[in-house]
Formats: sequence, C-alpha cells, structure tokens
Amino acid sequence: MTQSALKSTALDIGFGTSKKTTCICRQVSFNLNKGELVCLLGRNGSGKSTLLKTLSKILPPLSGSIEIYEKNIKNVSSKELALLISVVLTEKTLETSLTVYETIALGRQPHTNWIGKLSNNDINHIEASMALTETKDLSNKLTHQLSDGQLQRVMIARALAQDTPVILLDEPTSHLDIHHKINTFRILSKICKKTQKTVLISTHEINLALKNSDRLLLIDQSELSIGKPNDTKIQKRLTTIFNSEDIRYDLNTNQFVF
Amino acid sequence: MYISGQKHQSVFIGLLVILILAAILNLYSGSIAIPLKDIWNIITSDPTRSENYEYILTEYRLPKTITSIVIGFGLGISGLIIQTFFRNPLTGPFVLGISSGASLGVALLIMGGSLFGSIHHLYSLSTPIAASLGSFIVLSIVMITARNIRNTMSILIIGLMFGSFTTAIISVLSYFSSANELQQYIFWSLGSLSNLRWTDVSLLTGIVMISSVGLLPIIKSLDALLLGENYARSMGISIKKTQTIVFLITSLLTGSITAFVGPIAFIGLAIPHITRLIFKTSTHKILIPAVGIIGAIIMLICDSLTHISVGSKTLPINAITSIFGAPIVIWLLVAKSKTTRS
Repeated sequence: MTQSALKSTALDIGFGTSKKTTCICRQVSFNLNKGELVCLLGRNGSGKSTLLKTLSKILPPLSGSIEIYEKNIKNVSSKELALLISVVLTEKTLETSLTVYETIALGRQPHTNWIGKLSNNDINHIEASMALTETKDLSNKLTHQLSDGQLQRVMIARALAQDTPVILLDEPTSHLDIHHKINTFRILSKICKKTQKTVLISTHEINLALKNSDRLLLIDQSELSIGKPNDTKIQKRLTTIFNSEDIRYDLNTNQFVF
Repeated sequence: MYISGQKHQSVFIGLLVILILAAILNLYSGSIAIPLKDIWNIITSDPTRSENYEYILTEYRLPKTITSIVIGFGLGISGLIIQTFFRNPLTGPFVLGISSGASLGVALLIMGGSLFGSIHHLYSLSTPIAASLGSFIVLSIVMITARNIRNTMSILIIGLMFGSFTTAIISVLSYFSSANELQQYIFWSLGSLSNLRWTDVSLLTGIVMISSVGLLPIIKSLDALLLGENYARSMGISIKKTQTIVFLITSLLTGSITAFVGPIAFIGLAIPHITRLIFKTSTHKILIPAVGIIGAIIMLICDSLTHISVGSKTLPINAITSIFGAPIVIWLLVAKSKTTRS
C-alpha cells in the first residue's frame, strides 16, 4: 500500500504584503506518495517556485493546508521539518569562503549536536552524496571558485546529505551539462525507489521529465493537474501548455521535438 | 583529507604566540621607557624590582594591555557575526546605529550644555553612561522600526539612515558649541584606551566573556546562514531567534566598548576579512575564536603604535587603526586575487 508523503488540500499559493496579496494558484489539491518522483512543469512565472517554497514552509500558504506524513506543516516545528524536507533553491548563494565539503556538511545540521560535530554516520552520508553527484574532486575547492553547474551539483549533494524523506528541487539542472542533467534525474529516481523518498522537481527539461518521472504535475494559468506521463489527459494538457509553432509533441516517441 | 584540523591548530598556536609577543610589546611601549629586564623582574616579583616601574606597569600599562585584548576580541567577533548575519562584507558592528547613538549621547553631554543648560559631566562615569544610553536608545528605535521587516537588507539600510540622522544632529550641536566643548568631543571620538581603571577593565572583560559564551548556541545557525536565509530555514534554523541573539550581543559588545574607549573604527569591519584570508574557511567554530585572537593582536599592535611618540603625546588610537589597518586589508585582498587568478 502506498502511503501519502506530501498532501495539499485546497491550497491557495501566492505572496503578498500586508496590503496586497497576489494569488498565483487557487485550490491546489494533490497527493504525493512515498517512493515517487514527480516533475513539476510549467511556463515561466506560472508559480512553480512559489509552490515549492510554500510546500517547504518558506512562504506561508494564503489558505488551505499542507500535510507531511499526515501532520499539518503549520504544527511542525522548523527543526522537525528540517528532518522531513530538504530543498534545492534557485537563489544564488553569496560568495563565501566555504569549501564544497563544508557546504555539503551543512546539510547534516539537523542531525548534529548543538555545536555541529560530525559523527561517522554524518561523514558517511556526506561522502555518499558526494559520490552520487560526482563532487568528490571538488571537495577542497571554495564555493565561489565553482562554475554555476558545479555549484548546482554541490547544492544537490547538500540536500541529499540532509537525508530527508521528502526532497524538493527548484530547477536543479538549469546550469548542468547534458551528462550531469541525465545523471541528476537518474540518481534522484534511484534514491527515490531505493529509500522510498518522495522527490518533487520543478524543471524545464520536459523530455527528461517525461522519461524519468512517475507522475507529472502541470501548472498553468493557476490550474494544476497531475497524472502519469503516459496519461492521455496529461499529454494533451502538456501540448496546450508548451505547444507552439517551434515545437511539436511527438506522440509516438513520447517526447517533444524542436 | 578534507578540513585539515591540524593545520588550523598550528595556525592557532602561532597566533597565540604572536598574541603573547604583542602583549609584551604593548607593556613595553609607553612614554616612559621601562627596560625589558625590569618588566621581567616585576612579572617574577623579583625583590630588586623598581617600585615606580611597578606602579606604572600595574596601574597604567597592564589595564591598557588587557583593555586592548578585550576590545580587539569583542569588536572582532561582533563584526564577524554582523557580517554573517547581513551577508554583507561591508558591514561592521556599527551599522545598527550603535556608534552614532553613543556619539550622540556623548555629544549631548559635552556640547548640549550650551543648549540645554549645563549638565555636570565631571564625574568619570558620565561619559560611559551617556554613550551607553545613546547607543541603547538609537538601537532600540532601529529595532522597533525593523521588527516587522523580514528583509535583512532593509534593516541594514534603516540602521544606516538612523546613523546619518544622528550624525546630522551632532553636526548641528557642534556648530553651536564652543571651541572648548568641540575639542572635548573630538578627543572622545578619537578614542582612548588609557583612562580605564581596574574596575572598568574587569567590567568590560566580564561583558566580553558573557557575550562570547552567548554566541555558542548560534554557531550552527551562523554557518547555515552563509547559504542564505531560505536555506538556513530549511535546515531548521530560526531566523528570528538568531537575529535577536546577534543584535543583543553586538549591541552589548560594541555599546559597552564604545562607552569606555570611544568609537574604535575599522577593527570590527576589517578583522573578519583578515581572519578569513588567513584561515580560508567560513566555519564559525573556527572563525569566532580566530577573529577574537587576531582582533586582540591587531588592537595591541595599534595601541603600541600610538606611542611612536610625537614628544610626550600619544597618537589617537582611532587614527592608528585606520592608517595602519586599511592598507593591510587592501594588500591582503590584492594578494588574494593574484593567487586565485594564477
């Protein structure tokens, strides 16, 4: 029996100040299961990042509720939540003189003691996630010496090191070369299956998403739909979102052609 | 293979040796030359020691040396935590309006007399009290204004705005004050380490020690903040709690230091940079003690340099810290960018 890992009910997402709120998406309801990799697709500005930030409690929901492992995240302390959800964000981290190893080790913070001492178990997790993301060679480099793509892999490794049952990634492959793009999707889907984690990736890599995800979450014009990549309803919606004169969805190969 | 703890250890040992040497140099330097041999005799309580020298050493030099160590330590760590919290290398401990508040307090005390009728400022503690009150009031206003603002950059700008506001008031005050009052105020603003007695020194030491201990619970949060607020939050860090502790500790440290020795420029801003260049890490477990020790060393050296005497007068400490410190930072940054390019 699959169990629900992340569930949103009648969720309104958006952002706002005390005077004016901008609602991006209304009445979002979906359910992500354990061991499932879901890709979030949508055009620029459709609300992908806002949804991910709301799910990870960085932004408050305008209304509705989010449940993680059947607990409302409103009632989950930030410390507890850090053991449940890890994130990869699009924001550029500032230039600091943190080494790659130190950055990835920060992912272990929710697990370490008050002063942040790394146990052998922590070190194993760090090294394992470095091996997966092929960042071992970079370990002594300072983060500001890295290329955008290398930094992105380091931030993915950091999230993996946090070892949470739910991982939310916001366009984690935007700067990666084709090898690392494929590799990222592959390792995420492998981790997902092996350790029953739930992974939600927002991405513009439609073809990789079609190939690797268990289900697709489509967001367009404040409407959300979710379904399997081979579901005809989802495929139809995909074509209406992205189809333009320059690209075409090929039903036979199940991918977009340019 | 990764974080070479051993390397850091040897750097720390080296720094401690330099700290001891700098402290001896500081005890040695002063308008009256005391031979090293006599200093040694006094330290070892040799019966042949000179009582005059001993008096100078224990009542003037030693308090000043300890003051230098303590304020170098305090300003260094408060600069570091403020820079980390605002994720801005251009900030220092004075951005929250602390020094401008203290200056306003002292300016009102010294120069406000002609405006508000005379206030007795002859008591030795009235300047520290005016400075503490001033910095406390301005800081409170900044905090109250900023309490609902989530964006740390806005808090930074609000602090700077209050700074220029108070500076403007001080300008108005100095425009209307007498030459004598103005001179008194300027002397305070140049900073001085030499008027502290043992009670002041122990009070200051106590405050710096308490503040350092207060930092321990947020070491992890500060590390996480290096990746930005959103990442820090996702790792279970409470930004509000960290902000409260950071603001409390910096205001306690810089407020009390400014109250006793005047607004010491440069140290809080530059020491964290120098330390990061030496240690090549941003981990606060290492940076906090390192910044403290390097701050103490530089403060001791700067204070010793105030005695490269122009007659019997000593140079103002505030000028020394910038004149000698700024080129060091520029040189370090240029040297660093050279090595990264090659």
